Amino acid sequence: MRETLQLLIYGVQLGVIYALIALGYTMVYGIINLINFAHGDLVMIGAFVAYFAAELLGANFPLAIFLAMLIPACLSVAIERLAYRPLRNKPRLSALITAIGVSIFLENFPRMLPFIGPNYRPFPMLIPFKNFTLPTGAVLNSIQIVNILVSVALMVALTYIVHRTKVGRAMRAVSFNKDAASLMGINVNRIIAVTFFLGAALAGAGGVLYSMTYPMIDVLMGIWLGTKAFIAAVLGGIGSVPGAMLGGLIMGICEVVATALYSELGYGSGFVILILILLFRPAGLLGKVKIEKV
Amino acid sequence: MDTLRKYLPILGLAAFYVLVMALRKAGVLTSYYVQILMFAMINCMVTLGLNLINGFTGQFSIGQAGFVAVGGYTSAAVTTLLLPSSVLVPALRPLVFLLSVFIGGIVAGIFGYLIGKPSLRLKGDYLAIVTLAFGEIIRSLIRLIPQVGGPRGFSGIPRYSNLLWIVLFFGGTIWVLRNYIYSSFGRACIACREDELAAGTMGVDTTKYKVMAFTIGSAIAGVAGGLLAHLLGYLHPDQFNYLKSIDFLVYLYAGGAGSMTGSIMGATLLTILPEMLRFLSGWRLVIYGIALVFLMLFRPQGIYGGKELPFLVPKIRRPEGYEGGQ
Repeated sequence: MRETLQLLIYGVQLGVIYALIALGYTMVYGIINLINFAHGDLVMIGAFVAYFAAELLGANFPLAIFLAMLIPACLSVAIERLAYRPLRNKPRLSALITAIGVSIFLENFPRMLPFIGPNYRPFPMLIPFKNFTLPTGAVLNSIQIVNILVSVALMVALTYIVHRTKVGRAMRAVSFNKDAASLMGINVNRIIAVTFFLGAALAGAGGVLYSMTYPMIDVLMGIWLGTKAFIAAVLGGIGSVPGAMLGGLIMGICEVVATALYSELGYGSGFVILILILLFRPAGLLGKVKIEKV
Repeated sequence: MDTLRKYLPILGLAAFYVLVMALRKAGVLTSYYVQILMFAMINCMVTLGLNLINGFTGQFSIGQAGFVAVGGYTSAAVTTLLLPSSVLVPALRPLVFLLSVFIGGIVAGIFGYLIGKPSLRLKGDYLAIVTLAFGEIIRSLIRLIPQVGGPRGFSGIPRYSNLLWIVLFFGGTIWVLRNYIYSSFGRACIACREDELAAGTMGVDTTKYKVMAFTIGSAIAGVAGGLLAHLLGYLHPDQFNYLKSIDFLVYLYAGGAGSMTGSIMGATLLTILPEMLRFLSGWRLVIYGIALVFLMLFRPQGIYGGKELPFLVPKIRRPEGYEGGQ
């Protein structure tokens, strides 16, 4: 029982991070049907921004995470403007290939910069480490608490933006029908840029939280993190915001439990769960099946 | 004249082989260059297979490396574990190799069928996700099989592949695919791509043709995997991660989806380009990334999208006095 609870804590801690990153995938997919392969690399950029903020500026946790959200977000808007927008009305897969190109660039350009380089770096302690023993015997540490609190706060904020603000309403309208939205006076390009901004901000935050948990960062860390978060987004139903959150949690918990059972199983387990869920619910857990109209 | 035209591709391929061998003998090409050429041709095969699925049938598979892994490991298991070269008379080895490559292709095809059957009934990016997951699951499974080396990698595979075999299989792939695409099956596939609903209304069994295209594409990837295994002599599950699948996607769309010429050009150019840029060390991947973005921005349909070199299009025989359209 104690061990189950302990695993659950680890699972939730990892799951909320996956969820944060998955939100960016799901929002971008929901709005322009693009699998944004460069999204995982923004997670890495976020982690590095926080690293340099802490090492060079001596930033504390709130400032570090703020910068780590802001810079990838601006970068993401620039990428959208330069690499995706010109291809908006071209075959859908062309944008996918530019996304791959951007991703290759984002992984390799920092690698060649002398102050980043290809090596692993230890991530600084942004908050003091402390263990708390719960009444049931499971141990909860300060990083886990911060991870979960920050992630939940960001997700609540995002839900608020999407459902209670004008921009959010415009986002939902654009994802529902781009042409109709633009006829209603919505500036579609601006809304898409906002979506990229929000998604990348969450990715940056996810990168910081992940690096606090596993304090080793390198330029390729975004690849696997991004893949798993993408799978989480699909699991929950791509295009659905609550789906991404649920999918992230499921992925995190499954991965931790499977790794605890047998270490080689950890990585593949998420994919098996994905296939099992897709067999019964092709649109993911919370996704809506689109009805095709002629 | 027509006979000459018919056999021109075969003659061309033979001339290519003779030329490469001559240059190799003359010392112009080192074995390193020949190796790159062989990789390029293997990549071409996988990309051509993928082109049948993504380019001609309009589906979206992003786990092609998984099928290469299945084919590679299967055929390596045949030549290393079942019929190791030590128990064979030398004359039998090429036969065993041929057999193993075909077995690899067939097994990859069976996997393709099993995955395609349930997932191709649905529309959208469903297949993409399932193939991505499949590629990763296969990798995890291979790690669990100690007989093929598990996480340490499969070593000691006899190096049966050489330029001749690869050229033969490469030519064979083009021949099979060309005939498939310009048959009624291929037209059904293209109809699925253009408008699945309309194709279904016209009586095309869309699921059947999509599954068929997917199975053939996967089987070709498996054959290429068999060749690759016996070229490298060593296989590791991480060679076939999803970044490898992404490579094939890039070859396909950079070359131009829906064009066999495009696939061949894309795979060849993009296999050779990173090697040529090797003197730039780490910067080559930076340049590769930027080049990819610019290529897509200025030529979204790919280098050779929608067009085809004439010898890849069979001559259509019309009855006497036919005056209709194309």
